[in-house]
Amino acid sequence: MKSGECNEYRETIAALALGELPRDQVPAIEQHLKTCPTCSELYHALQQEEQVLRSTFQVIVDRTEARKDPLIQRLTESHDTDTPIPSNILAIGRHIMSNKLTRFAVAAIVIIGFLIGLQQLTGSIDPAGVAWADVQEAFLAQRWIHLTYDNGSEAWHNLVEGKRYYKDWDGRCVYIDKVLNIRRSYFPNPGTYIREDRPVILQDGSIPPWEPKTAWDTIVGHVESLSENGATQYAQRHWEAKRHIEKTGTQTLIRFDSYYTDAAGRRLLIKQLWADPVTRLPVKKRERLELAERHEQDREFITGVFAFPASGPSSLHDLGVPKDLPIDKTYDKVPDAAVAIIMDRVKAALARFPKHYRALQWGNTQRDNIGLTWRSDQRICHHTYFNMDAEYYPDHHLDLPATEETVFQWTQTQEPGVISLFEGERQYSWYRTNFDFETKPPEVRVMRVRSDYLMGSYSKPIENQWRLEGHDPGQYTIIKDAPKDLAAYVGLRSERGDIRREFYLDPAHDYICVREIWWKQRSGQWEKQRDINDVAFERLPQGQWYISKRGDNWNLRVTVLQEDEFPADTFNGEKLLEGAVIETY
Amino acid sequence: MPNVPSSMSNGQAPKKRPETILTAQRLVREYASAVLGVCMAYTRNLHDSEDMMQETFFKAVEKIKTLKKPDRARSWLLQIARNTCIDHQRRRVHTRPLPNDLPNPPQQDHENIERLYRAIARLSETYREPITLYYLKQHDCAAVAQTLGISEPAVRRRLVRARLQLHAILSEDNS
Repeated sequence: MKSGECNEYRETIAALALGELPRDQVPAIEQHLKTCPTCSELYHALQQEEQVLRSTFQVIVDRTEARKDPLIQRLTESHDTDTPIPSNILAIGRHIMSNKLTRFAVAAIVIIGFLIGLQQLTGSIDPAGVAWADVQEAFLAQRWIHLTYDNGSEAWHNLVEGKRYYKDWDGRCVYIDKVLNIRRSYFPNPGTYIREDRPVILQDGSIPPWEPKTAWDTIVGHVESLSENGATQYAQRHWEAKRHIEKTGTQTLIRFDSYYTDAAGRRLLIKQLWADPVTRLPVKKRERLELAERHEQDREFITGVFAFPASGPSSLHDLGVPKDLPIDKTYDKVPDAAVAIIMDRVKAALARFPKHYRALQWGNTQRDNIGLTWRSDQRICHHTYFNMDAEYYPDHHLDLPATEETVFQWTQTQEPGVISLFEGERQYSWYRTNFDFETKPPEVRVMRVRSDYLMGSYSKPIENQWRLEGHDPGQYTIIKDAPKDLAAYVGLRSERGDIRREFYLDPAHDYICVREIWWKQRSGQWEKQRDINDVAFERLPQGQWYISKRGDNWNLRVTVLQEDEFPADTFNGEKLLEGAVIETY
Repeated sequence: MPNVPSSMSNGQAPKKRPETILTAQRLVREYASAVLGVCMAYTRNLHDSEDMMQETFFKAVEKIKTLKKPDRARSWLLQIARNTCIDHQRRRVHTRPLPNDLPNPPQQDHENIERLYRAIARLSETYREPITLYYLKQHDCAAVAQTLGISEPAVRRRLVRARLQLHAILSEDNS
């Protein structure tokens, strides 16, 4: 072939270099390239360029990918347009049903759906014969799931967008974006801001990917696979599910019963879900409320009914959340270096504090409860004693003011009114339902410990003096405009909506919080709500400080103990269960 | 409350097909590369393309309620992109840069990108969009055809010719 004739090959060679040449044409052009230096040169030049072009475009593609999330964020924030476009559904529906072909397609999808449902029941249909993608598409037509509970709670799932809304019976509203991994929560009390956090972060820091799922996969899928696989152990909790067929009139439903083995080892029916195998849609759900909710709502179970409306809420405001509330982001906040240093010092002081001790806290008036805390490393037991009226209950009365020794001796002759015990895996709340000290048995609530952080409400004196510990340091800033009388302290401020809290830490006393001021904003002005101050210190034999007195409110004494100095059964949860009415879950 | 509130659960035909739901999020996720491809065809550098892409989405979101047929979103969006780029050329419209703007690519990539833009700008207009979209869409002719609303063979034809033209321009640029 002469080189002059090669012009006609140029496009074929370009197609080959791009990888777009049909296979059957490749051998001929490769043969030509072997014999034609001009074409061969062009081909190699194109190939080399191709590499550069592809890598250059890849840089651009990567940049575009990196831009998507910030762009979505900005668009969403500045326009509040995550409102779906009102598509003309009726018009579309009319269009479908006016056309013979589309009408046939719709009918086919319904039939396939029916066959699959039948297959679930009888196992008689060959799944390979089913156009699964079509069925999935048909089910995605159900874009929203709406769940209405008989206690007033509601939930909406947007199957296509990965958005969820919850409105609780007490007015709490939550919005979750599964794609962006964002959760916004609104609590009616205080009702002054919306909290935003990331509901799920994987261990490597990444966000779990989200994909659209059918109503069946979203609601039923998990429990269905659990019923097929038997029991599972999730987050140290034992779950199992059973599948039943339930016939009501002409309708046949599948009922999934989920069981949970509670902290006391009892197998409890926690959830029941009814689903229609023909339509592949969930129908009804019955859930056992958790302990606190059972008491608050005075009922054991709630029942929810599924509906599949064409639209749902477009924002939390549609659920009744007031507009113009500030959003308080609790993630991605990097504490400034100075705050991080202070928090490290607080942590260091906390780490230096003894791990085995007894702390006794008492007030100066009869109405003040008396608290006795026993701590052995991660096990904490807190007893609360009630100082009863001398006239009616002389045996349960303590004269005040009193010394530590007198108070402690008195506690040893009394039975506590409340015991809160964290014994590692489980936590117990033991309490008397009446204070007549008669024969009515006490109640015990047993729960699995849900948090690694136990230094909360019952950990005197930690709770009194290092209240920042366990909080996210990103929420604090250093106070630079502290009043003169607080100049010797380090001030940290956190602000959330119209609430501001200020903590003043004393560097001379192990960074203990010596003053805590709460503010609330009213009509643009910050008003002081609470001011906790006036502390006295004591020092332990190893040199650690603690607050031994706060004004006239309370006194506290810490006694460091050895492991063998704790009274028998101090941390024995089983002992608390003896003779008590037990409540779990 | 009835137990089975959906019409589907009564075995009736669904009254609607899967809806196209457009949100800012979905627009960006699905169409960002197509919009960027169009913007690359009309601008002279990467920053301008990215700014135009972003401007396109802002305009789209502002106008989103005017889109009556969601299944036409792609062509609607690309037309906004083209108009935005043309407006930019004419008036140098003010754009809204992203606050967390990305750093420039490394030197070698940066030079290659600049060269690429110079070459694209010299391509025949018919060829610009097919070629930028082809490389941004992971060398998928079918996807380009769908984006531009033309047939796959037509895309392949334009692409091959565009590629040869690009080669000529790049060779000239080298020398």
